[in-house]
Amino acid sequence: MSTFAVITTSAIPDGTRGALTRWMIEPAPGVYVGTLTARVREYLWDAVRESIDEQYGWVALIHDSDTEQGYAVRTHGTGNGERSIVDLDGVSLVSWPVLEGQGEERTLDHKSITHW
Amino acid sequence: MNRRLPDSLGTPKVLGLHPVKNRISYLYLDTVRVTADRNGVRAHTEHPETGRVERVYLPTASLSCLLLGPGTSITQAAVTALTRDGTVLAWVGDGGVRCYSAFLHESTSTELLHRQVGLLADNEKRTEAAHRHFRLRFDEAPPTGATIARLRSLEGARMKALYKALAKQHGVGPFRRSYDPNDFTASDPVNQALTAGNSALYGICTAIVLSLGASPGLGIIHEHNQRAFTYDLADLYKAETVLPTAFALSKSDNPERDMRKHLREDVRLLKLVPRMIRDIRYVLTGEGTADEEIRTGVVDLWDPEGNVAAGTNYADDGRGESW
Repeated sequence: MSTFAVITTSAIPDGTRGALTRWMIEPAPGVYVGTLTARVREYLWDAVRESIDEQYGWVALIHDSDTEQGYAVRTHGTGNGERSIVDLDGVSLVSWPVLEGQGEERTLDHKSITHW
Repeated sequence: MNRRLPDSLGTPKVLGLHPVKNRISYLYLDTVRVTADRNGVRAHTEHPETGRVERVYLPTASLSCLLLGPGTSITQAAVTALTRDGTVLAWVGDGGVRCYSAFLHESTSTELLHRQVGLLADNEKRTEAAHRHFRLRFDEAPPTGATIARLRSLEGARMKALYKALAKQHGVGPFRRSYDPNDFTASDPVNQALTAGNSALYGICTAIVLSLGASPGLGIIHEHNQRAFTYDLADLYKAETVLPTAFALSKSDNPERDMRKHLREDVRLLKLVPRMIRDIRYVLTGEGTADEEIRTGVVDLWDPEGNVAAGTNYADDGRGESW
């Protein structure tokens, strides 16, 4: 049973990037898309996780799953703006630190210019 | 870098919103502050290990119901964003004290609301609806011509037997449903789980009822409460979801959290949301159709001979001009 999977990466070795393309396509830099069996998916996840740069690298794996959201998410690495996955009674959401000056509410209506 | 946001993302068009049956059933938050930020809605939480303030963006447009527990606060802008996305906001508390924000899309059909009011205005029709409700709840037809009092006593006997069987199955002593509204943790795990599970179930039911354009306040069995119809609906599912789970959690050290996790699985596995939509229609109209025929954005002028289109001038010089 193969399921759809996406792996997004940052700061991983060229060798790993090349290897991933043997299973998946790379439509944007560091983004890999494919249909994988659960076993292959875990195999690639372990391989990518071991090869990333501990200081700057990060990797996220998103794949089809039989949950209410319809997918499961896993992340690894600290170079990801320190994002982590939180589980809220069975729903996976993303949590990341509030940096200096971002604690205030910023409301924008659709007419305003957005800054990011 | 400055860029304009497309108009459609500020206030989503109906086209951009999931129907309630395709949404995540509920999300429960406590001890967080919910604010609007960058056109999204976020919750501020403390990281359990580092103690730093973290942010979690909430998928409001993919969510049917947000349950806010003790210690939460929310800003006006966040509530605006939530209601614009058609998310029902429920405040849930320790003792199960709840109130709901109502959202009503202009495009929501009023057909079911009319049927609901029609039932309440006619005791005979209302009794028929109560019979349909009984049939769904116990999977058997009630005795022909049974009065409401008779249905009540049949229901009582069945529930008593169910509680007894569950208590025996899970080795819980004689069970009494009780909780102290002022001290939630004083009650036993089964009661805590029941209270938490019911809160979440009521939240989902209210969200579904509102999204179909019916009123949670106009009940068939229950009456004189803003959640009367919500209670009617929730009763259809308690015996197969909340009750067995609560008894199974008699030894749990966090019955509330465990209950909500289990309930989420139940909602998904039993396909509860599509079933709720079907059941609401069946109870209110007697029609067993599962297809949602929703007339969006249509306004009529009422006429006992048959409604006529709005937006037309019906002055006596009679040409029925459109404006």
